[in-house]
Amino acid sequence: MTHRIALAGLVLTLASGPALAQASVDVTAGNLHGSAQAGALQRQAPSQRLAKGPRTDDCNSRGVTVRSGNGSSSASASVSTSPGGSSVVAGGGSPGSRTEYFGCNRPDHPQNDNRSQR
Amino acid sequence: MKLIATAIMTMMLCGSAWAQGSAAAGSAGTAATGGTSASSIGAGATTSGPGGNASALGMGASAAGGHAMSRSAVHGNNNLNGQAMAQAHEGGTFSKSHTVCHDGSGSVDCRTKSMAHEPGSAPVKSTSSGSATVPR
Repeated sequence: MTHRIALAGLVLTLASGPALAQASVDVTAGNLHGSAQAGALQRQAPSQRLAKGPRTDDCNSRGVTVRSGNGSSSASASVSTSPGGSSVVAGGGSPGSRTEYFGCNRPDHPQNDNRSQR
Repeated sequence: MKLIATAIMTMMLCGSAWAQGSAAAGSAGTAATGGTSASSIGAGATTSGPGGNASALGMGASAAGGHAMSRSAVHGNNNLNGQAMAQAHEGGTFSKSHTVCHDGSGSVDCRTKSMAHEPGSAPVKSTSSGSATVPR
């Protein structure tokens, strides 16, 4: 069993769109990734308004996506680990927000572990 | 005591970005030594406008090697507080990372602290932060 997490990637990307009063951030550390978007995103397609992590049923990977009720803010986090490791995600938003878990945190996943979910 | 593995690698990352009426920020960190590793991350966004404030916050953590444990939670409504913590240890060798984020009231603030330690060596500590505020 491998007990090492690959620690190769370290990427920071910052972007903002003043014309649309947007702000966004992407952070990556090893095999963890997070992103958040805020601002007047209504001109974008719905799929572009939502910060998303990779969809996967791999139980070594899990993620969460949160979108505010009016669609102006979204955030996501996704993590993975080697077999035998431990990983967890959590998300939350202002009233009216929608929180979606995927991977091992998906509610109907057969190996779902809900201990950390709200 | 002879160290089996001497490589200690700690990478920290933080970032922030803002624009009028909105703010997004995040931070992340990872630490590894002696076959243990731990990483944590947080990213949040908030907007302020005539219709009110809207915020979203995502947190994550992972650990591997030896006895690995991770926890993550987000609490609050309009003012969100999130924590993500990961820790792995094997004997006296351990790696851990902890990210805390506050999201709401026109600002996002995330901080990450990570540490790796092997017996006989000084601990390697790193901190990072990312913050953004909606312009007034």
